[in-house]
Amino acid sequence: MLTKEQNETLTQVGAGTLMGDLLRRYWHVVGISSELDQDPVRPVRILGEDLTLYRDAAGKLGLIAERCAHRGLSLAYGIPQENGLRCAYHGWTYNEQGQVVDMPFEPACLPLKLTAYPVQELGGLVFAYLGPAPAPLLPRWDLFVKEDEEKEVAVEALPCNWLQCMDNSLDPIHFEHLHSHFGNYMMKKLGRPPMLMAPNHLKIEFDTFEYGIYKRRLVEGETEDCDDWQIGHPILFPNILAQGDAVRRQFQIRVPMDDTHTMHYSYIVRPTADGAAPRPIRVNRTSLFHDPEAVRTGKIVADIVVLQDLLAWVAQGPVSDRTTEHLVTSDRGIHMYRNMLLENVERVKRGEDPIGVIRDPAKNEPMIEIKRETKGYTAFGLNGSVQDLRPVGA
Amino acid sequence: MLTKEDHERLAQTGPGTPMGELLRRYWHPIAASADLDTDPVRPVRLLSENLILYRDKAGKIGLIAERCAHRGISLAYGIPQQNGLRCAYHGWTYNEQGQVVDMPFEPACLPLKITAYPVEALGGLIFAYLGPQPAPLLPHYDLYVRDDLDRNVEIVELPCNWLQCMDNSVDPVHFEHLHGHYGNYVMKRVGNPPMLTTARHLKIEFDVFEHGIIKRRLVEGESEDCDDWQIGHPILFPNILSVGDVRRPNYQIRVPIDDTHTLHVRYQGILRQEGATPRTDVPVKRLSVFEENGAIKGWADDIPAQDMLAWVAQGPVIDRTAEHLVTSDRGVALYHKLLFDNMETVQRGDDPMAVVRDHAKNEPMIQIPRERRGYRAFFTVDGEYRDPVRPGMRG
Repeated sequence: MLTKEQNETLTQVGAGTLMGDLLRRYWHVVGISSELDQDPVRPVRILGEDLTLYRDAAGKLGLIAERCAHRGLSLAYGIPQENGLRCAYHGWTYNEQGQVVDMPFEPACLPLKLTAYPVQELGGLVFAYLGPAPAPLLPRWDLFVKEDEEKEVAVEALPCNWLQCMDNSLDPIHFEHLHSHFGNYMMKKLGRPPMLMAPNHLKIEFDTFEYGIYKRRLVEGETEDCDDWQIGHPILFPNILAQGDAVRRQFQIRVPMDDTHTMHYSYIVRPTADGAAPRPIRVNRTSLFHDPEAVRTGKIVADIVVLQDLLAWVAQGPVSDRTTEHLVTSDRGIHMYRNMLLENVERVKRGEDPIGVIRDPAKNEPMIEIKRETKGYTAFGLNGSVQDLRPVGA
Repeated sequence: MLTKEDHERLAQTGPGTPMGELLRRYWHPIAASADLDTDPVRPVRLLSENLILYRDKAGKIGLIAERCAHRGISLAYGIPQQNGLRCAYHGWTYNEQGQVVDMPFEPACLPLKITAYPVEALGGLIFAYLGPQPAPLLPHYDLYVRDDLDRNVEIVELPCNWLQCMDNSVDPVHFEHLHGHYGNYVMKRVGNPPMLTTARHLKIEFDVFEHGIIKRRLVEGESEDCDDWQIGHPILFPNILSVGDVRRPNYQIRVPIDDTHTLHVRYQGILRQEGATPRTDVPVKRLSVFEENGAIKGWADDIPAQDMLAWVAQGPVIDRTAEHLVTSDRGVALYHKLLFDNMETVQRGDDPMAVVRDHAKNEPMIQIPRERRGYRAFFTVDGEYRDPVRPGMRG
């Protein structure tokens, strides 16, 4: 149970807030490269700021403020030019520095400038950095860098604070209840066979490492040399869950849009079939919480593991009221993670880099390998196979 | 026209507000029993409080706070158990008192309790009481109890304050314009013949009685011994309109969801033909009539849809500091005065009107006066009487 002030510290993401300042020390996903091929200008909301992401006619990417300096029209309607983005209303044109470079109906171009942030592409994603210069390196996490595999990204805008996703990722026990007991209950209601076994958790453990926290579990039916206990799942500080097995690996990236919304990216990588060349990255945008049935009943139909997690995050409300929660013995991973957030808030206040910020190219090149289990959750599998762990859209 | 303060006192529904406290002295329907057959766990919003209605595996009905005490997940996803409702996330289980009875992953069960309210089933509806103990009796209004009726329920969620429905119900003359003139205009627009004669109102009257207000009208083409003038329509205080004739009596129950939303429960009785087999179930139909922005879907081509249009088209909360009540609105003024008087009564610590605590009054039922046949003059188009029983609301 937290005080109101502590909960606000943890959940506010706007500029000038404590957590907002911490989150601004990291690169965040703001778009998908292939989507800019379809529509080169897209509105973006991130960390409480409204921005416009575009690729100009010369191929240069820009991320600038949402509104034209003239009379405030959204630049999401802008026209890509060789020299930047041209406002739909009166043609004022901005380059990727936010500088106005053309005012076609004026005798001269005034020296105006909009907010602009640096962007970089990696692994088919577009990342932005909203913090103070000099920007750190964009981390070259392994899944983003490997180019010989099939990639897919599933995107869902969630009507809840980003931290609710992270709390869930530091809580191994929920797997036994939410995915097994509740999941099997859902299956029964839908007239389908059970999806998972529900073996009892024997112990859970959490270890910090250079880039975040590993969570580990041992359940009945597994031995201590299993991957779930020996390796576990890494949480890459501050907002990425890495999981999956040797074949199918993913990052779940929770990008705070504002205090009450999160853009959730599931970035999934798997080997190509028989050594074929990988296809272009697949993009799957869904809108589960605006589905008419979900609006009518107040509930989504959560019949796979990933949807059950989404359910748990969103069903805590727009911002979980942590002044009324009751953290108990099985929640100690959440304690550890929240403490890590608060410690790093302090580091940023002192003017230091928080953990997971990379400035040494030797560490970053060619990539940062993340140790992960090669075979997880085997004890949960029915008939020897773990089914229905597919993410959204898979 | 009201002051801003009085306007707010009428519109607010939350705990601690004068109207919220008055409304908390009554039982309110929150679902049909049949709803729980479809899905035994339902999110409910009543009087600005978010709650979960469920039926556990032992058949016991509970109404508890929306969120689990552990980490605040919505119990709308809960799993019904023999001993209560089990949270989807980590299995904490609550009984109908809101008491946690199981924490499967913890060494012991902590003595935690969340908000819980009493519920009762009657006539195919489930009612809740959110006020102070001891709870009054759940009124046995006749349509819930009579054994000569079959029943059904239609539920619509309205994007407006509940009082806008009630104001409309104590305003008889709108019938002549909204349903007559406007209704015939809509008929013309959709290419149908006129639906009503627009008989002129000669006089209107309002009488306060034990359970609320009776409104009466006399229109051209009727004589003073007609039911419209002799009996009229009762409004059961605070939020039920009783309407319809002896063959098809119904209650329109306007349940405040919050300050800007209303659950409209239309409880329909159908007089059973002699010798017919009674229906054992009370089916429920949930309709979606409005867009969230208040626009009605399609044309308002029958009377209930026209009334709903009028309620919702006043906006989420009508601005009563800008309205102009005139002579034909004296039923509205009388009803507002009853509300203000009863808010005072509650603040003094007394029971407001129509709260029932006497079993002798409640058993076997409370008879509500009802016209045998109403509105005859309106339903005579081209000299022909047209049966007012509508073919069924848009679905």
